[in-house]
Amino acid sequence: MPLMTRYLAYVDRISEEVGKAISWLCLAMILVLIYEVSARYLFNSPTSWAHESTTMLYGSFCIIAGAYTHRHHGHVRSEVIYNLFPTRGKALLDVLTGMLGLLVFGVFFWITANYAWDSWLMREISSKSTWGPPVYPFKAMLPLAIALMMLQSLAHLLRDLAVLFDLQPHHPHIYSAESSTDNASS
Amino acid sequence: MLDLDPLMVTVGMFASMLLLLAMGAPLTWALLTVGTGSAYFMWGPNGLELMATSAFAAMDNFLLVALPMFIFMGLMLQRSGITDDLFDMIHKLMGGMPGGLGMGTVIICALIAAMAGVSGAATVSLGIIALPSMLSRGYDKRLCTGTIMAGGALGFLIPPSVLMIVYAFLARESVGKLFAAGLVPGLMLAGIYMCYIYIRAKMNPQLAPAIAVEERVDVFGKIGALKALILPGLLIGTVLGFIIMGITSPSEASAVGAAGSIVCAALYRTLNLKMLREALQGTAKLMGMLLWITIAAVFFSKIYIGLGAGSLITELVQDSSLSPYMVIIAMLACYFVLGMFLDDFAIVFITVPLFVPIVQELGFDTVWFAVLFILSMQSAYLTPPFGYNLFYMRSVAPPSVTIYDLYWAAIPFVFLQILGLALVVAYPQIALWLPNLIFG
Repeated sequence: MPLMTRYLAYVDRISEEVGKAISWLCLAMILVLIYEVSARYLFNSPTSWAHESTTMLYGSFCIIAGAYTHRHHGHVRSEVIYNLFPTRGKALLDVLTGMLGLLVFGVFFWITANYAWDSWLMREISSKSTWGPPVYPFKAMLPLAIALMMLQSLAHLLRDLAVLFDLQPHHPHIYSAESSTDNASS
Repeated sequence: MLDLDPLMVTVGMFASMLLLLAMGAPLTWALLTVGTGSAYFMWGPNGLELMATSAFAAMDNFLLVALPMFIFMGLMLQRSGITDDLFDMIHKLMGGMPGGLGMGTVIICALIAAMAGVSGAATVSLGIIALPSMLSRGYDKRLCTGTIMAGGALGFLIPPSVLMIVYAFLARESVGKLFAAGLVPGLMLAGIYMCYIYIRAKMNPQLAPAIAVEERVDVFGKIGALKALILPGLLIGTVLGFIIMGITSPSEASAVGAAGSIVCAALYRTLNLKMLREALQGTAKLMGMLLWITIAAVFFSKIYIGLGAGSLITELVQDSSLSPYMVIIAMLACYFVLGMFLDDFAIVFITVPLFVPIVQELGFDTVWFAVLFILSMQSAYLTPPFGYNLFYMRSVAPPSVTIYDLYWAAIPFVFLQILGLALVVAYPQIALWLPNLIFG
């Protein structure tokens, strides 16, 4: 049990810190686009790189943020029927869907890791603009984000199993998965 | 490879997805699981390559950059104190007439809707600022909570709207056109709400009394109060002007708006590291959810269409003897029912790839249908017992307001929204006039 508690605390930390760190990319996107708009209209010299680099920042920001959202239970779900079940019934449903989800993420990880690896091996260059940056680091964000998502999913699954089998927590932290869905602005 | 009937594929895929959703699985999980399973059984391991390409296509898309920008802008403005300033203005300008604060609240909602892309922003911030103020002046609690909840839902329709950007992405529609199409119906609905409050206040002044004489200000005070409109006016004019006039791409305009919201917060002297962090982290939480649904939904619909089932529903509609308008009404009824169980983003991702081809097939304008869709999502946000705005209001309202008060508060406004929806169905020009004027 202490091992599991440590795992849970550790994974929550990772998702939290990575999510907080990655959120600053949003500010970087704003800066790049403001630079582009002012370069184009005020100085009449549009850049070749602004749109593509913002797209890369956007893609990396959002995909990595998935695990952070998951840690805060922010992925949209319908709880109309789910809420009719008692606590342990809910835990059983969560264990079933959680295991299925981990399996699918495993497949997803494998496919995207190959996809990114192929791109990396041939040093793939973007052909979308004259700028032509390397694409493989951007593609590598996919397996990385999925790996983070799997760690967080496993943490949720362990918590649900603890509820389902009524394990006495050695540490109250096991149950402290913040259930507040604080996306109060969606 | 198995050869299956399109009808079986459709029923199988949607039934298993709904089953997973009913079990409480997040939508992303449900779509990914069913998509992966179907692809594997139909095409074997090679079919799964689509996962990587769908995921990368959703990440590598410049149009969607506007989503985090507008969400960030809304979260910043919500914390910036702009609502306090606007409410102070309304208080001076309109407080002296019966129902004035209520009508003014609708105006603030429309202004916030024109600055923020998300719907919760106005409901939460006005629930904190306008609600206590109206209650303390003897307003009926059902009338004022209903006003704020309905006004908050205008955020969907009045551009910029995050939901419209997602719709534009899925239906390959122009964001500028959709934004232009939402503006007039949004203002019309705001007008309808204001008329309703005015009539209620006229019939029974006890419901929405004017503020006390000693609280009122003279003409000069009123003119001075108008300066609260300067910053919001500049922000709205720049962002919407850039998009609708086509000066910059929507994504660039959204970045200008996001930067503008930081400047606004600085001018209102509310900008600090803590609020900036909160807004950035709130954006990360929402975008982590939105991009993952996008990936899952793009993957799901690629599999669905790849299995040859995409044309099934279109054919079913063609074979049925329903008149085109009946089909549209059936779709809207479908939205109404789905709105009771799912949230707006879930509905847009599931239904747009299915419904928009039918709308085109029937010869209707897809921009017009987009406005109808947004209007029905707005009603879904307000309809008891699962409307999201009811929960937002519940989370900020004082304890004297019960959830049953909120149910009763919402009902008249739901009827007003249905009236607005009926008007746009009957007179498509309400939505299409502005985009046709600008885009020819």
